Amino acid sequence: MLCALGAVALGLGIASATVWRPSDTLVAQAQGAPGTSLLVTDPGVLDLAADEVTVRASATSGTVVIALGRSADVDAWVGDDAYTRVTGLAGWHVLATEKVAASAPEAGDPAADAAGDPAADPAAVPDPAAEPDSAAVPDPAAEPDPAADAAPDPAGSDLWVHEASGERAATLELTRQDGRWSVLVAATAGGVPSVALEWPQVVTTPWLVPGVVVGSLLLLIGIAWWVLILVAGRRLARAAAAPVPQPAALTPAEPALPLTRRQMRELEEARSRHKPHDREAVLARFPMLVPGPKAPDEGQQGQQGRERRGRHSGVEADRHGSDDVRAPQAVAVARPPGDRTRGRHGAAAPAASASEQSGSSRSEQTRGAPASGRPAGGLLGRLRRRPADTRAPAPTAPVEPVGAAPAPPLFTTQRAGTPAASADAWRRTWGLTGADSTQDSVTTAATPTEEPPQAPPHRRRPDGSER
Amino acid sequence: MTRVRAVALSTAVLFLAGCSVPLPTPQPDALPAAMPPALSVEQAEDIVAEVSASLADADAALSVDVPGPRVTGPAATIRSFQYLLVTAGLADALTVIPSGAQTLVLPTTDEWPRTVMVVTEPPEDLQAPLLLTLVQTEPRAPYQLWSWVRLFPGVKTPGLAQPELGSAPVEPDAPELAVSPTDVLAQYVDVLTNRDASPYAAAFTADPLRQGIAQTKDAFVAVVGANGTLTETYQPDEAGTYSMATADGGAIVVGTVRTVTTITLVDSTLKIGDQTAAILGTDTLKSSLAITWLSVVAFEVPPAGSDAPIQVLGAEHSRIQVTGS
Repeated sequence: MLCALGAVALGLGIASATVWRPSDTLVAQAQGAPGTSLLVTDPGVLDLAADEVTVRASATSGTVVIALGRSADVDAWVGDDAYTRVTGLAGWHVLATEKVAASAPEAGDPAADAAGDPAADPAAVPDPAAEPDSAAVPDPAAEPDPAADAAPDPAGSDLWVHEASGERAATLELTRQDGRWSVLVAATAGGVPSVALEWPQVVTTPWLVPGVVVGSLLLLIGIAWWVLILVAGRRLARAAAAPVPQPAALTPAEPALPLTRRQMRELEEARSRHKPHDREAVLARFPMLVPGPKAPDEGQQGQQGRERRGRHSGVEADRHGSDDVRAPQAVAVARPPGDRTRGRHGAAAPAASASEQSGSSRSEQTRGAPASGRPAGGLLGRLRRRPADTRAPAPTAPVEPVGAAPAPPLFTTQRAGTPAASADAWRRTWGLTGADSTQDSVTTAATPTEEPPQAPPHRRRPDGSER
Repeated sequence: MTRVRAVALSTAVLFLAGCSVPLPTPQPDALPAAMPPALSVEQAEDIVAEVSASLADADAALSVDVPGPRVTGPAATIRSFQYLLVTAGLADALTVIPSGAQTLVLPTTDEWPRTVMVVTEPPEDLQAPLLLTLVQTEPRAPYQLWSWVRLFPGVKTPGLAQPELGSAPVEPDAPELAVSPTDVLAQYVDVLTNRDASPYAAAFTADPLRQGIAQTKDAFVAVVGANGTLTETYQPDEAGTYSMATADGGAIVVGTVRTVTTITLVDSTLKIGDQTAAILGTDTLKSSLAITWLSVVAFEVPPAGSDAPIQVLGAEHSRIQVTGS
């Protein structure tokens, strides 16, 4: 809206100085009244709009004469002939005219009419005009004067101060001078003359600068606003796009997870509530795979520690969980494919408990398993955002073979055999560890070797998880 | 949104309406209290030049009947006779009329006829400058040379208004002069006729024209003697007078006097001189001779209440018709 207003203002401002710029001249035209070959301007008409005026006259045929004289002289010269009087402006481009009928005495009328009739015929005009004397003389009844009156020719009169004539068109440029002046236009061939008065005008463009300035300002403000809206919209869009389910387990292009610490904590707590049970269940099912000697104890301890430590435990628990590579590996491997949900929760227990158990010795542990921390977190994050019943895509690829053969073949990476690698795989598969929910976690899960070794020392969540 | 648009639209319309300017109307200058001259100096100079050019063409054509469209009245009459003289072999009969003006007397009038008086530059033959009188009889007529007079040597021309201000034309019966133009001419004729016996003799300064007319008549009288009779009459010409006001309220009055000299011979012959002989084709007359003269006289008439005499500024005296046998 602001952009539109600004553009409009800008456009209007520019248009006011270009397209709509007033003409440099004011031109007003008039056509002589029918039956008049003479046209006279009232005094004051010539300098109506400017001190300088260009008079353009034209006629359909014959010579056109423009003469400037004192108004009294012009009137006297026209005398009793019919003529068209220009009295002013009827519009911005139209001259106001009025016809003044001939006031010739009765003797003059028939003669003038008789002479006027042939004059009205275009074909007949040139002949009498070319030879006025011969036309007048052979007719004994007509005086020379009436014959001349048919198309009076003011050219050459001593009355005129300026004079111009031309074939069918003439132009006379005049400058105002004191006194009362009139222009006489005569179509000497007897036609009806037309005249155009052209005055130069001082053109100002008062709206150009304000229009451009205001328009530009509005436009800029509008653009800035728009950009802001766009940025905010992109943020929203990113946030909205985040929950989209991942089609493939190991190659999600998910954006960073904007989980708050609180959310994570709650999630963690909710999960940890099941831990003892899950863990027991797992252990009950797979007693042979019980990992470390302390695992059960730590699980108990972890539960207590979590409650005790409260708010900040989540992150650390995740991290430590990720670091703690010993037991869960086997759990993940051994877990039956059909029991994923439970397995997930069950698997979480050892990790959490392990982390809790090793809460005091975090540094060493993280040092010990540097590569696994972050990717696990990312995976965790992704899984968290997924609805609880989505057992789907993520674990499929790795898990299926696992169900068939609990052996290491599931992870065929170079690190498959190592404890860290297996722990990694476990975590990745089940998403139990790491609050560090970074986007790249999944990818790194697929290729754990690429994980930067320096990642683990983080005590706080990386940027991606902080949002 | 539509409401916003409506508001914006109405605002724009109001704005544009406020911007519209009323049509200008003619505002002519008021009629001046003092009538300006009907001609500008440039116009008058152009007219003098045109008249001169037209006259030059006529002079070249030597068309006796029509001395050109720019010559009329006494000037045309005199010029035609001069053409006759030239045709008869007197090449120097033409009065040279300079085209340059040193003083313009322009009329302050919007009526017709209009009169312009011009004091020309001195001619090349070192003669006195001429006082030309140009007349425009009607609006569609051109200014025409009505007369010219040679200013007498030593004449002091009256003070004249600047041509930019113009000079008022004076009617033939104008009462604001000591003597109206018509009366001036009549009185002058009386002086010519009665000479010093005229009651108006003292009203006019002595002038070469009066002397010349008297001397010519006396010479004819002496020649004719008892061998015939000689009569000479003077009368104001019907061409009338044209007058222009001077700065002191007086006027320059230009009029014409027709002089007819008739000689009837009784059993004798008369030897006649140059111009008359050239026109008649013989220098010896046996029975009669009739000469018509036309005199154009320019007077300076004082304003009413002035005791100053009427001064004759200049004159042109020419035969215009000669018959004899």
